[in-house]
Amino acid sequence: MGNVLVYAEQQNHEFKKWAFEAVAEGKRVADQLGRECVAVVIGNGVSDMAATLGQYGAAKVLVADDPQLAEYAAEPYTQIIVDAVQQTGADIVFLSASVQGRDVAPRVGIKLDAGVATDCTEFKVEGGNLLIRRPMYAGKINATIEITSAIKVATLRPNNFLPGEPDTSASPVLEHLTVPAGDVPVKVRETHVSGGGHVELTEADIIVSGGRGLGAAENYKLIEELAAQLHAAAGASRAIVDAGWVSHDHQVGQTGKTVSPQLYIAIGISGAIQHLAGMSSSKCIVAINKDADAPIFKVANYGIVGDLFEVVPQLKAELAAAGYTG
Amino acid sequence: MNSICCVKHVPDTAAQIKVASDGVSIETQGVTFVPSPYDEFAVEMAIRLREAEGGSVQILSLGSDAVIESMRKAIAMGGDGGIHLKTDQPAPDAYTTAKAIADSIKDKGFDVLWLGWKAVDTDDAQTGQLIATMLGIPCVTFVTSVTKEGDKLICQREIDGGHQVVEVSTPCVITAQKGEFEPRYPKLMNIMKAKKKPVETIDITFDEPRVVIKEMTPPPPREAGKIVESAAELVRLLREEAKVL
Ligand SMILES: Cc1cc2nc3c(=O)[nH]c(=O)nc-3n(C[C@H](O)[C@H](O)[C@H](O)COP(=O)(O)OP(=O)(O)OC[C@H]3O[C@@H](n4cnc5c(N)ncnc54)[C@H](O)[C@@H]3O)c2cc1C
Ligand SMILES: Nc1ncnc2c1ncn2[C@@H]1O[C@H](COP(=O)(O)O)[C@@H](O)[C@H]1O
Repeated sequence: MGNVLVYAEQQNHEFKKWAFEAVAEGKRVADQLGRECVAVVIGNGVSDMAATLGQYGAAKVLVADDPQLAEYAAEPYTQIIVDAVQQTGADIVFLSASVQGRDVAPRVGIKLDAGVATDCTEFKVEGGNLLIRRPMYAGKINATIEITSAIKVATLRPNNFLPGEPDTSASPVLEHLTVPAGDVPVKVRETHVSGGGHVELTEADIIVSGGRGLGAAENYKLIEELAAQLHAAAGASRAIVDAGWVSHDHQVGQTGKTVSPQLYIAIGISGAIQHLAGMSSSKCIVAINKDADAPIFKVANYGIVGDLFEVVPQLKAELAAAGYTG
Repeated sequence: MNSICCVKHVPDTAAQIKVASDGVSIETQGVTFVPSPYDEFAVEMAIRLREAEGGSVQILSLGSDAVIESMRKAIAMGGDGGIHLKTDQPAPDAYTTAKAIADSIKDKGFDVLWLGWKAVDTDDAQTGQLIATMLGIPCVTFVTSVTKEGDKLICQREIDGGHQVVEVSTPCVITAQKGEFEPRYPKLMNIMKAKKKPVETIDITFDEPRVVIKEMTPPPPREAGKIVESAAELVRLLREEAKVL
């Protein structure tokens, strides 16, 4: 097999956490095949940051750095990734299963006559074949799949592969790619991204989620305060998204985000099958619910049966005493 | 605005999913099938656009005769008719599905082809981008609302950690994320009318797949854990036993 090419996503001159995860896993797979892991970075003013990827295992980093690439657009980004694949003789292409990675991966697949596997959680090289694990039916099923085309494209679930300690002595080869000319048919008018301190659900180590047990929209601040104290992301059940207490980007579940943090704290959430589908691969689950028979307790590692309006303030005080002050 | 909306017939999200005896597909006995939730958001947006701008909304479903049930449900929301891409073979992968849809609709003169951002069965989240790339037309994914301005469509879309407003010209592909509005409930009168709306049937065959399923397994079961008496005890266990704090 050929090399492994990894598209390392950055935003505003910072690599996404999942970029390092993808490069590290790309390196692990490349090692098993006796090949190299090559990373590609796209953006404006990104040349200086490119070498960082060497610390996670990229032997070489290809850089497409141009003012026209400041904002993600599917067509030029697709073309650059395709060019990078062809230039490096890669036959495995890794991207992240982020919004951007998911948007671009199938397009790359068509241009390369390659099959695409989405949201993969495990890669294994066996007898020269790449076996891939990915959840389906929102995690109700795990599938082992194989991509039969010569080139194989996969997106990697964020927060699932460990990037490991960076090797600060690594110095990868840097190469610049030519930037394709051509129309961008989708024009961006405005972009709004939540600023500093905000933790995304899909990359959070800890998630604190609230449900209908909160009783009223204004009580969601209990969830936000606890989340802030733990540097966690704030999640929600669909019931309170539908009720308009929080926006849909907080929703965890089959029709929300699928998450697998180290710690998931479900507060006033009953544990409907659609909610469990989105969070039951979390390493450790805590449930706080006044109903001892709530289904959430069937998947929780630790549960407190009690009124959240008593338990959550106590929990905040205990955490503060233990040094978790935000 | 002439729209085609792809609606997939999938297991209800409340269904327990079990692996069938062949080990590479799911047991469908006793499972209720419904239109995939994000497809309903797509249909809602397409109907809203037709209400504002005129035109038509056709509902497309690919699969056996069973998928007609979900197609009719979507037509009952306010669609003008259906396109059934008929096959008795299960779709092998996202690529073959996309190819069959692209080949069947490329000469239909649509302005917008709508899909869900993902179908809640295979969770592939690929079909829209695949079709658009095959047809060489633009594709906007994760869209939560659409309006028309001159000859452009203005789309709100979700991105990681925020949102974006983009403009695109037609013909194009749009994939729907859950948006500002709930899909409408079909009125009884429309359910009756939907049964009489014209459905075009196109027989299809699949290309060679590019992704094959080797094995399906249920996820490892989670054991119910401990009931803890106090917040203090919980914090101690999270730090000392689970080591997640
Ligand atoms: C197509 C479809 C897709 C769906 N997708 C999703 C999805 O992605 N995500 C999702 O979450 N749901 C989803 N659902 C909805 C799901 O079926 C449930 O309705 C929803 O998860 C329930 O939310 P909840 O647990 O907050 O509310 P409830 O089920 O009402 O539970 C509230 C819980 O709070 C507890 N409680 C009440 N007061 C207190 C208190 N003072 N202290 C402690 N505990 C208290 C109660 O005992 C109860 O267990 C979907 C449904 C459908 C039909
Ligand atoms: N068999 C099908 N019939 C109709 N639409 C489909 C079919 N398969 C996929 N789609 C469409 O493609 C979207 C994305 O599906 P997927 O890429 O499989 O996650 C779905 O939400 C549907 O809109």
